[in-house]
Amino acid sequence: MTAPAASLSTSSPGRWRALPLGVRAALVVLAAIALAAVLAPWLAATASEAMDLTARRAAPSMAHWFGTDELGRDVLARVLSGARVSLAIGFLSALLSVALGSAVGAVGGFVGGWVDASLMRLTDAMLAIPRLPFLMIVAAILQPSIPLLIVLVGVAGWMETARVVRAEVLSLAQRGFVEAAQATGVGAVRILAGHILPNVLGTIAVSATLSVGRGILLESALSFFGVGVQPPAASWGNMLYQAQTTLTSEPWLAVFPGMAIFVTVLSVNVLGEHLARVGGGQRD
Amino acid sequence: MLTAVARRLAQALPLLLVISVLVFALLHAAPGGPLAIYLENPNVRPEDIERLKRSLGLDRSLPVQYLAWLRGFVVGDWGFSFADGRPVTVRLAERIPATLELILASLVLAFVAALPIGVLAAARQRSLFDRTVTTLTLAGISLPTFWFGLLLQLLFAVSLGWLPSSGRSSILGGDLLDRLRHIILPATVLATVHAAVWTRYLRSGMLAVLAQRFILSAHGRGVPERQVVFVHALRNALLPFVTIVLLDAAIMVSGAVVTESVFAWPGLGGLFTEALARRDYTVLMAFLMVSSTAVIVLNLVADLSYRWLDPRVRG
Repeated sequence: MTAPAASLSTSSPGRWRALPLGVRAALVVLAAIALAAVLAPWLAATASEAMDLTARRAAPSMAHWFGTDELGRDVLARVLSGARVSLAIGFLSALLSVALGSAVGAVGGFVGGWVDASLMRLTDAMLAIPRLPFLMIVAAILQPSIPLLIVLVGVAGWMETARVVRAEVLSLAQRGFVEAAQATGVGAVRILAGHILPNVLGTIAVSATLSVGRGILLESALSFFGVGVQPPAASWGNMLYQAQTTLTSEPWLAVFPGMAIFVTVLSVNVLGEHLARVGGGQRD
Repeated sequence: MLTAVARRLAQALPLLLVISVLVFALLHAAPGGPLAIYLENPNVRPEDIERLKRSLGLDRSLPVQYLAWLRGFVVGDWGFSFADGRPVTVRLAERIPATLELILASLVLAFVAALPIGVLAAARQRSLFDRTVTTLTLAGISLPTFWFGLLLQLLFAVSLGWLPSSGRSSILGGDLLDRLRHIILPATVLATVHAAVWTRYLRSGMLAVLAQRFILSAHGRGVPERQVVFVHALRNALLPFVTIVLLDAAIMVSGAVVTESVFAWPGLGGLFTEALARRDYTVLMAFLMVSSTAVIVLNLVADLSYRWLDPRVRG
C-alpha cells in the first residue's frame, strides 16, 4: 500500500491528530454520509417512499427536518435514500474510470510507438467531445438503469487518469531500476506490474478521488436534466429536477439535496487535495 | 511557424473525423434511429415513416449515410431540424450570439477575479488570505452548478427581488441596463467554477516561479517586493495561465448547457436541451460537432500562441 493511503487508513490516534483539520472534517462527513446511506431505511422516521398526505409540501419542522414534498414524502428520508444511489454511482464509476484510465495510460506510456500514438489520439478525441451533452444524449437514448449509469459515467471519465498515468509511466520507464530489470531479462508484463505500477499508485489514488467527485457531479447533472436516475427512485440530482418547478413555493426541496451533493463532493475533493500534497511531498 | 501550424492542423482534422464517426454511430445506432420520435406518435402511419426514411436517405447503409452527411457538413449543408423543418445552420446561427455573450461575460468575470486573487494568494503563501482562497476555490470546484444557479435565483430573484430570474431581456425592456441585469446571475454561475480552477492554477504557477533562482537574485539586488511579484514572477506565470483560460473557453459551451437551462437563456445550450427532448438528431449532431470543433480550434490557438510568445518552445 502506498504511504498516502496508509496515512488515511491508520487508526492510531497520533496519526489522526497529525492530519489537517479540514481533512479530518472531510473524513468524518464522508463516514457519516456513508453510514447514513447504509442505515437509511432504519434511520429516517418515515421511509423514503412513504406518503403522509396530511403533511404535503410542509416546510422544515421538528417532525420533518428537511420538510416534505408534494406527495408528503419526507425530504430527509429521500436525501438519505438518494445518498445510496449517488455514492454508489460516484464510487463505482470512479473505480471503472481509474481502471480504464490506468490501463490505457500504462500501456501507452510503456509500449510507446503507434500503440501509444493511437491511444493518445483516442484520449484527445474523447476529451474534445463535450462530456455532459454527449452523456445526456446517450442517456436519453438508452434510458439507463443505475448499473448502466455507473458504466456510462465511468466510461466517460477515464481520460484524465490515462494522461497522468501515461506521463508518470513514461518518466519511470527511463529510470535506472527499470532499465536494470530490463537488462536482467525481466519480461515486459512483470516490469509493468511489479516495478512501474506500484510507483504510480499514489498518482492513481489522487486521480481516483477526483473521479469520485466528478462522477457524483455528472450523475446529479444527468438526473437534473431528467435523463439519469428515474423516479420514484431518489437521487440528489432528480430531486433537484423535481424541485425546479416549485422553487418559489417550496425552496427546501431544492436546498437540501443540492447541499448534500456539495458537501459530499467538497469532502471528497479535500481528501484528494490532501493525497496530492502528501504524495507530491514524497516523490520529491 | 508555418510548418507547426500545418502539422497541428494535420493532427486536428483526423481528430474531428474520429469524433464525427463516434457521434454519428451513436445517434444512428439508437433504437428507432433518428425517426424514433415519429415511431412513438400514433398519428404517424407506418407508410409515412417508410416514405420519410427514403426521403431522408435513412434506408441506405450506415457508411453511405455517414459519407453523405460528411459531404454535406463540409459544404455547409447540415440538414433540417426535425422539430420545425428549418435548416440546422439557421437554428444554430440565431442562438450563437446569446451564448457568445454569456460566455464572454463569464470569461471576463472569471479572469478579472482569478488574476489578482491567484497572484496575491501566491505572494502571501500560507497567510490567512491564502488559506481562505484555497478553501473557497476548492468549494467552487465542488459546486453543482445547477444547484448554485437555483440558490442565486432563490436569493436574488425570489427573496430580494433585485434581479430577474431568467431570460436575456424583459419583453418590453431590452435597453442596456435591462440586458445587464439579466446576464449577472447566469454569468456569475458560469464564471464561478472557472474562476476557482484558474485561481488555483495561477496560484500554483506563481508559487513555482517564485521559488526559482532569479527571483531570489532579484530580491538580493534590492528590487521592491511588489515589482518582483507583479513584473518578474507574473510575467513568467502569465503564459500558462492564459493558455488554460483559452482551453476552458471552449469547455464553457458545455457548461452553458446547464446554466442556460436553469436561467432560460436563449442560447445554444437551451437549443440543445430542446433538441434533446424532441430527439432532434440533426440539431444534436450539429451541436456536438460545433462544440467539439470549438475545443479543438481553441486547443490549436492556445498551442500556437504559446509557441509564438515563448521563445523557448519556438525552436
